[in-house]
Amino acid sequence: MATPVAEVAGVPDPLVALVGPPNSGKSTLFNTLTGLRQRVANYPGVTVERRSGVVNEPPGSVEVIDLPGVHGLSPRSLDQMVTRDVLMGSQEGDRQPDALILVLDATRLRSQLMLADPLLGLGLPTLVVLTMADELKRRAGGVDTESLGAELGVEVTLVNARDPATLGTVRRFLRALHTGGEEVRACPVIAVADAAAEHHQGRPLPVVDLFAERRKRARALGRSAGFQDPRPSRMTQRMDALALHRFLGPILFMAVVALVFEAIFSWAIPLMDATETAIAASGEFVTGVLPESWLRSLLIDGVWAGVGSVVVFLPQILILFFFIAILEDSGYMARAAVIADRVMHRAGLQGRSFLPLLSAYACAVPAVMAARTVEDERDRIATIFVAPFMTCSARLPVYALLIAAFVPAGSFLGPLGQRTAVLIGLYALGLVAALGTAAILKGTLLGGRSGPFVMELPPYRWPTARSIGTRLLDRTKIFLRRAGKIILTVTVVLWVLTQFPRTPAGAPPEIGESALGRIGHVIEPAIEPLGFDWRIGIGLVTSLAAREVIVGTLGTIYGVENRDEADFELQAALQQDLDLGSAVALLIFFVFALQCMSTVAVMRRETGGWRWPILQFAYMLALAYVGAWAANALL
Amino acid sequence: MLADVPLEEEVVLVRLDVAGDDIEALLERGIVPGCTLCPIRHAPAGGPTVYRVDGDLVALRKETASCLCVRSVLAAHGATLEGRKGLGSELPESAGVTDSN
Repeated sequence: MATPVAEVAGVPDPLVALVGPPNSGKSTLFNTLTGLRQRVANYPGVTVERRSGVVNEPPGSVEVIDLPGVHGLSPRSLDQMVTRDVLMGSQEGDRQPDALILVLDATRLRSQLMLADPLLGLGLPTLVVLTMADELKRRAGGVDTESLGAELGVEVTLVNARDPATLGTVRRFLRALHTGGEEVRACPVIAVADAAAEHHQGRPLPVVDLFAERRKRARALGRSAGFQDPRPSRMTQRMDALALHRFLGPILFMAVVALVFEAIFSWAIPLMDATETAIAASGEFVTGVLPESWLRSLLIDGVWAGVGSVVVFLPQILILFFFIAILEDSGYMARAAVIADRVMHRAGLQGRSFLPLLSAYACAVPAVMAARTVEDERDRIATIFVAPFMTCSARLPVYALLIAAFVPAGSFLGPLGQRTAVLIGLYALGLVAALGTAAILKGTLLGGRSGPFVMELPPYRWPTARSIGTRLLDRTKIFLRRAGKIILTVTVVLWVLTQFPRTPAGAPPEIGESALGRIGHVIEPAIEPLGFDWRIGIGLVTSLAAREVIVGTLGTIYGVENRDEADFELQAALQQDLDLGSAVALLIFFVFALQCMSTVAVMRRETGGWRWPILQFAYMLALAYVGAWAANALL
Repeated sequence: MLADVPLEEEVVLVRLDVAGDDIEALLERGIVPGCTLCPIRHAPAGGPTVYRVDGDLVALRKETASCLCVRSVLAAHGATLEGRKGLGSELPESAGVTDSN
């Protein structure tokens, strides 16, 4: 039986890093090379993702890592810092790559070649891959890869990253890592000599001159390689005439936002209902199979309930990620950021904050992660900080229950019902709180002059099913890992709190007598001014797992038995316990409070410490408390 | 200043009056002294303006564009349009973009 060479020798597979500017086709190449054999993890201590995969290239296999898209190696952003550390071999937990594949977009070669100097200067064996060969040809551009290779001193190949048939040279390069072939010789002097030119009379050049030098050299390279600029992309010109049009642009923008909303709120509902039914049915099945015991209770009321409250959001999250992938891969997201920049800037944010804030309408966890694309660090923190104010879908079941119980169904204004009007009001309140908070933050903690907003607009391109599929898979895995762990843990802990102290007969206590019930009683004096009693107090505690959990908890507390009539019974019970003032107070509490441990956990990760999540939790709780108190006092 | 350049007029970047680390965000994207810039579209309602930078598209806010000191392509070389054609190889910056139009 043939054993991979690497295993026999006891040495790891050769490591090759894919590096290039954003939108250069790097990830497409990575997907074509590795297929589904990829892994996503985080670099230790930072939030940059490490995507790696294995390519079988007999006589062995090669590990390929897809580094984040960068414009250079200066430590200006997290992405660039990690890329530099990985390439230098100083990234914790990673070895230095044995070779580099520098991926550049052939249609934008003039500017992209600026990255050649700093990367070839590293002296690692390098292959330069120019992507978008088809587009270059279609738009009547051209480049002589051999002359370019001769100038750079490394091999250059022109490919379509989606088409494996064009990747012959890439595969030969990977193979040579095993055989030690001609292709993988270290970068020759030419690039290193240039690195030396970056110093003038022993002193480093000022940064502007350094880049001016790089640009000059990139252009000289392009010229000697006979690079012909392709004609401007007709599709991009036409699409931008619409997407950035004075009147039609904002209309298209609103239409896209409306479509995403429609999708995550209407299309996802049947799927979410089906998921909920499936979870309930499987839970009942397990209940029927297992004998009654604490183990069964833990499984059903702890684990099952916990897994259920994560999985039920999956359809919505998937649909959201699907749209984001299309918008990003097509190039529209950059235009949306340009359109949104004006309004966002007023609130102290920037155009790139638009995507995270839109995501936050589904769930704050992917929103906080999406904020990585916000380049300016202060803007990124501000975006993360305000994202949980956007009305996430876990709030909806709570809103729906309270609105149905306390707001009559009549008309508010013509066809607009009162209930819908209240719901819109709650959404608006969240948005106002988010923008207001951003403005306050930028005037205080995150004050100072913000950096320039430089947004490159990549050419429009058709997204491929493959890249969208890969992104969906990646994002979903990460969401389940981040949110799932926390929600499951909190649910199990809450379950334990309902089991003790045991009754003299050894049975679990009534919920009011349990440890959880006692917590409810303990916090009752604190929430009494808001019009809440200990029962709502228990609900507030359990909703820390995920906001919608309060609905199930209240169902248990009020002893709702009949599943078919559960909604009505619970509404009736709440009408007994809450008056209008305290019901509105509860709604407002949920608009503002950060009742979500997953968000807190993901924030800690993304901001690199407890400072921001603790501040945010306290700030949102204070706002929620004051808001709810005012509502209860006034109504 | 770049912010004052009318749409479709090509200019050459002379100097960036941007402080500290912020300047690298511009430099890395090819906004480097000597590059050609051409405003091609204003985003709605006073939003950022889209520029063609050596063939790439980049959006900048007005406040950033006001920090970029530019000169007209023609004035820069004191040449007429006909004169420029002859200088093609010496002026790759302007020649490249002009050809692609």
